[in-house]
Amino acid sequence: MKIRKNEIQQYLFLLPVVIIILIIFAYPYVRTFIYSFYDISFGGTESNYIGFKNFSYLLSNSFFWESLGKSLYWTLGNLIIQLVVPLMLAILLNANMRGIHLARSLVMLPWIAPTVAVAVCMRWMFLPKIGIINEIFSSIGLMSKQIHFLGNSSTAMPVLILLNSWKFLPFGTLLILAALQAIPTSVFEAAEVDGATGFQKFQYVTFPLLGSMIWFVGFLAFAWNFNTFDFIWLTTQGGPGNTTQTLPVLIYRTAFKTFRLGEASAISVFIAIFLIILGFFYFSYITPKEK
Amino acid sequence: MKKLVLFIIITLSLVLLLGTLAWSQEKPLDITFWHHEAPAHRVAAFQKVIDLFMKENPNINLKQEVVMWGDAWVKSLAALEANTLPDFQFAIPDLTLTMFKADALAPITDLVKEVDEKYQIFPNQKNMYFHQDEYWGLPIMTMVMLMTYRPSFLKEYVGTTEPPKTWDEVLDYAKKITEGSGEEVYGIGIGGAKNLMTDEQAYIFIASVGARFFDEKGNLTFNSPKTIEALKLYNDLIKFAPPGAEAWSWGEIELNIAAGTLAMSPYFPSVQKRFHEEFDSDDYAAAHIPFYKDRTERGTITYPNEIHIYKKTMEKPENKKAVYDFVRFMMRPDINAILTSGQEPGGFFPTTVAASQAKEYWDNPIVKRFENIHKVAMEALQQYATLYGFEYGKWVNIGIGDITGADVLADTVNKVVSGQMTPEEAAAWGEEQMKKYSVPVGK
Repeated sequence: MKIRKNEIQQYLFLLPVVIIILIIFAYPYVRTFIYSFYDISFGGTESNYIGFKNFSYLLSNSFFWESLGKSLYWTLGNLIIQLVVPLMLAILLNANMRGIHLARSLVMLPWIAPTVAVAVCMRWMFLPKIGIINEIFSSIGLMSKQIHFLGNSSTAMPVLILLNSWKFLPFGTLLILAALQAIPTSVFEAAEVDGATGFQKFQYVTFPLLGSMIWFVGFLAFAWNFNTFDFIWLTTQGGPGNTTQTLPVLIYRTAFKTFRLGEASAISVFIAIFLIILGFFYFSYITPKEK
Repeated sequence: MKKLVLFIIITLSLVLLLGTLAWSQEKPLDITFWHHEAPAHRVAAFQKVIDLFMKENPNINLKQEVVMWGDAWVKSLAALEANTLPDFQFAIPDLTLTMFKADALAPITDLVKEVDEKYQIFPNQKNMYFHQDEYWGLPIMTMVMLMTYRPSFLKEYVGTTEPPKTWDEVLDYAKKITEGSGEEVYGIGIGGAKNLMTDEQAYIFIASVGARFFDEKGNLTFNSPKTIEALKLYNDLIKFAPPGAEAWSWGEIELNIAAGTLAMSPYFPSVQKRFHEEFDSDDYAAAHIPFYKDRTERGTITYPNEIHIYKKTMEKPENKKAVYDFVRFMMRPDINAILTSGQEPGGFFPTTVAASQAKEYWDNPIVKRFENIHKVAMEALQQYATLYGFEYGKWVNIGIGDITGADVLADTVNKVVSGQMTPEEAAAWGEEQMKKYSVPVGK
């Protein structure tokens, strides 16, 4: 009887959070899912049930596949940088030397800078004629002609990936650093006794023991980057042309620029299903299991 | 204990009584409106007008709320669904049309006729709101694009301070300036991104060649030889724009003109304030939009900023009266000058004959310094300035609001200047996109 009372109390404490989650998350998800089966405009007074027509329209149109391709390009490009660089930074920050705590604090700076401020600054910094990046590169002889990095279809996406990855670095670095610091030093001492070099210690001790954290950071980075909208919209708005128009940008344009709510909802549902299936396969079959 | 209970009862009763008395006092009527001019000095100009109005009408509490232009369509539609629209809103014709389509607007023909009789509204400004024998908006102030230029750059690289009179001359000047300056100064400033700025600049070319989005019955005529000519001219000219112009948004042309990296731009002549206050320079001018080849008619874009009033406001007689009184107040020439030359000289112009002749308008020191620009602007407004989809003095296609909201014209231009499509392909593509939104009147 006493135990049951405690259980009821626990559920009561959870209730407010559950209600908030239902209102903020569940309700919009369900509405979006329903809208995806309707021909409905933003602010429109009429809506017609059209079944899967929104989905078949998307799947048969090149702009959708182009945006999906750009989403994958964007995500994988970010993923590579956001796994490799944080790992290297974490190893460096794991050292025990003077000033290391200051270094660990400074590495947080990109994370705490507001995305809007970063995006606006970067836009101006990469402009030709008046942006500092062109000035620096030109003055040291790296470029003979100034480039609008974010306005050129060849450079816009790679530059955006670099800038976005810079923002994510602290998060991945701190997670991997925490995992590194959890590895007992005795393991490294044993490896040293066995004559392992620095690289061999990394290859046979550090990397395998960090495995689960790296896989976890990898999936987080994949999902977050796939869903990135704010940074792209604030810098290029999906341009030049459609060069950086990923699926989240396409959703925004479809819903809030062309007011086609049904279509935008269908794209959202597609992304949700895609990420759920990917997550299932990732954690079921790809992530190494702990023995 | 009894004394405590008695004390609490007496205190609560007093509080209740005072509260009821306060609540029953006559409160000023709250009226809220939205506008979309976010810069601090523009908000201040609106507030000045509001304060003057409230001084004469202490029973009205008027409040402005700023909604960024980029959010205006979405927030207005969302507010309509949530029943949180303001009492009235400043808008542009496309937004008014979008709200008309959403069945949110009330006709204000009586108010328009009253103001027209008193102050003579410029016909092409007024007629953009005429539909089904009613007026759905009243233009308070307007904007117009002219051929703005820096006379000193024309003198240095072209050998004259006279502005180009034809688009061929514009191309020639732009080439000479860009090449002659070693790309230190670029000849022309036009954008190529998918945004309203490109929509507006591109329309100058569309209007100059005599192309139209629709015919008089509202049928699409966008994919035409004239549109293709306009796109080709735009594409030829943008080659002499600064690198990155294909991605420009609002503010970048003003920045480049002021920074001395641009010689000419078909744009709002609104950088006067900077030249007057920061640079103390006369090196900024504006001319009529050039002619296209053998045409004897010019074309440029005008964007009236009107107010429209919502049905829900009209259902409350005191709210309707308050809004009408405020509109009458704003249209007084002396007050209107605060919203035009007072708010942004060269950015906003009057929409009535009376306001265009007001001493308060022309006495503005910036207007005095750049008087010729304002004279050219008034001529353009009265003679040839128009707006895509509104060229016929009435609404011909209700879908123009959504076409603008989707930036179809800008998208079409973007496809050409980024090399994705030829002008012919882009014109055909643009018309296909417009078909999704097109609603000819009478259908």
